Amino acid sequence: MTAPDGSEGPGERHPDDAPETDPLRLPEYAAQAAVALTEAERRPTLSAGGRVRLEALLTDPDAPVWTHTAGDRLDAEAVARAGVPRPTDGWLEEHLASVRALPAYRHHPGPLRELEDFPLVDRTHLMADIGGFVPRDADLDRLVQGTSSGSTGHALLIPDDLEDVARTLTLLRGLVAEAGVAWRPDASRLALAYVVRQRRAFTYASTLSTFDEALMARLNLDPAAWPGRDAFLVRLDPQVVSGDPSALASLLEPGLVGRLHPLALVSSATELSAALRADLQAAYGCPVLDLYGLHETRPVAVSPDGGPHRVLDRRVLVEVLDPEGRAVAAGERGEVVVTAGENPLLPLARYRTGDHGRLVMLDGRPAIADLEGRESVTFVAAGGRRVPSVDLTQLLQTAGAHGWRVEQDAEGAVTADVVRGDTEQVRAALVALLDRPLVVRRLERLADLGEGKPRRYRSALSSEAARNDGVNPAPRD
Amino acid sequence: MADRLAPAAQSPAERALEQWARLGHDEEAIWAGLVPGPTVAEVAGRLSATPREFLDDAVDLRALAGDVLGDGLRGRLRWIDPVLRDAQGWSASRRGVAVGLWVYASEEVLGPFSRPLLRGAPERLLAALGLRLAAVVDPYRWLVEADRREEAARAVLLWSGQHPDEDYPTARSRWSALDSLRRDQALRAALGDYLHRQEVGRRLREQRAREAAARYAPE
Repeated sequence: MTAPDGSEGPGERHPDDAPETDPLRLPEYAAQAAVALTEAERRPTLSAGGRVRLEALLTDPDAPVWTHTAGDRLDAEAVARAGVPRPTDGWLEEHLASVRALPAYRHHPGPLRELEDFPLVDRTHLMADIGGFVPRDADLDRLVQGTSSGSTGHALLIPDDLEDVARTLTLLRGLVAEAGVAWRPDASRLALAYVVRQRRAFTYASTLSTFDEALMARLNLDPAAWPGRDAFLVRLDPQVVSGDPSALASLLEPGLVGRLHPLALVSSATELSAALRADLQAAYGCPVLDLYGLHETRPVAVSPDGGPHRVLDRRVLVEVLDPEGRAVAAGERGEVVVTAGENPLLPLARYRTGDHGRLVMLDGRPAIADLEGRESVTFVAAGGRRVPSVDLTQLLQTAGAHGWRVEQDAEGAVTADVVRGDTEQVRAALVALLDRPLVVRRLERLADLGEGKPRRYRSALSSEAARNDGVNPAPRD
Repeated sequence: MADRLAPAAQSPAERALEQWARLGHDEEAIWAGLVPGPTVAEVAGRLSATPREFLDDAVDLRALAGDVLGDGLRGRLRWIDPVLRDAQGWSASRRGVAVGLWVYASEEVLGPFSRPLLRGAPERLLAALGLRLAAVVDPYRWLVEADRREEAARAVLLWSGQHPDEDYPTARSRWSALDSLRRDQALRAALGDYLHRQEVGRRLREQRAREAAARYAPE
């Protein structure tokens, strides 16, 4: 099928886009609303055979409504580069030279010789001056927009690098191999299912240029989003499934357990509870990898077994510091601070994550033990329906809120403190989403949310909801 | 103890250059459309004759511009006002704009140039002198140093959209040799940083950047 821009897009079916008066409407999720490239730009190296297989996936009768079109956008040379890890020999010296030259450091009195000389940076620096953290000699033609909602919810636009984004697959392949599993392209299966569970989400299918044009899809496992879900998943039987814990928990539903045969499951974004890990392992008998990282830093560490998160063998260095920014004693608890050199468009030195843990040595490699701080909260709507906090994030961001704190008490009543944005739109959306007694208070400044790393969400009912779906309850920090 | 990266402290000169860059004047486009104007010597002579009261720290640019430009100011107020406001806050910029106003005033006070100075976009000339040139060379030096006076005179001509009685390569090469901004590495870097930040912001907002590349795990 040919889209109006001349590209061959999926576009055969469209979601029943909500009318403009719907308080839960998210304009960005309207079908193909964010499409801007031609098909040749999106998949420069795709072969005729790969296109046929992709088209078959896109038009599969059980496929979800594809709300987006995405490719890895890699040309042949980029495919070769992204298909292998970046070398790490001597990377730190080269990386610090790059950071020293950033516009953001132009006025630093110096000297900035060793890593320890570099000042700490955090999300507020990026919010205030993201361009100052992009090297002057960076290839901006490789820039793709990433977003991070962070602890206060105000979205940060992040300059992601096309090749670095694609190299995440190379990382996953390496981690699966380290777990002792052979993951090879299999034309009869989906190579990768990246799953989410949200009321509205971008969904798309693509080919993996660095993996023999095997197929992948981003899928929304929310049952309301997709009637043919189980049939599609069972038939395509994804080799690897990645997602956040609340999405992976959907794999425990009766229609899927025992009918899928993943080689590995990869959890990221929020904390994976021991209970959910155990349930997933019991259900599928495959490695469950818990990947830790921030969008700003890219993946940092992995826990293959529920133990400490092992710092990845890539351009990343982890320190653990006390509140004054001093290194804590070996094995002591403190804030995780990351020097991250994988994304050439955002080289970071000593980035404060806001997460906490202990730096330990494990099999001769650094690891983060007792990692805390990644947030996962579930609200409970009237009637008992569970609503993940990401659904609230989308609606609050659409209403233009700069930050917020939403709390649900044990009786189910909801209080929302919202910084700026359209308060009435927030009220209407929360009523439609949760149908609970509601108080919305407008705040003018992020600082009004309180000092430190504010918790955006808290629900006294989250524990019960989480127990029911195996997701870890409220954050522990 | 590790410190926290301090916000970039900007010097007045860097701020003036940033204000200049924000106006978005395209030097190449100006060069492509120049028409003949007065000679460099004529303009330089006027600069040497700048009256002391134009250089006074207490000068109010808005009032001075009203006196000098009269009806010309009323028609261009929307564009001139921001330049006057930016320049008023720093003495070098203030003097730079005042000298530009004197060049206009001199046609009435001292007599017309051999070819009249174009006045179609006075805000551009005033910004070039007050925000761009004054950021790298204090206007006092325009009045007393021969090379800097020639640089200022050529700036007056260029940003008025005119060239002196020279062929294009000669005018271009002489300008390149004299342009202080090109020779001031630190300020040139600061200006480059500003333009880079603008470009990153533009790319981040651009629709092509917004079309997500395929991703493989939540980030």
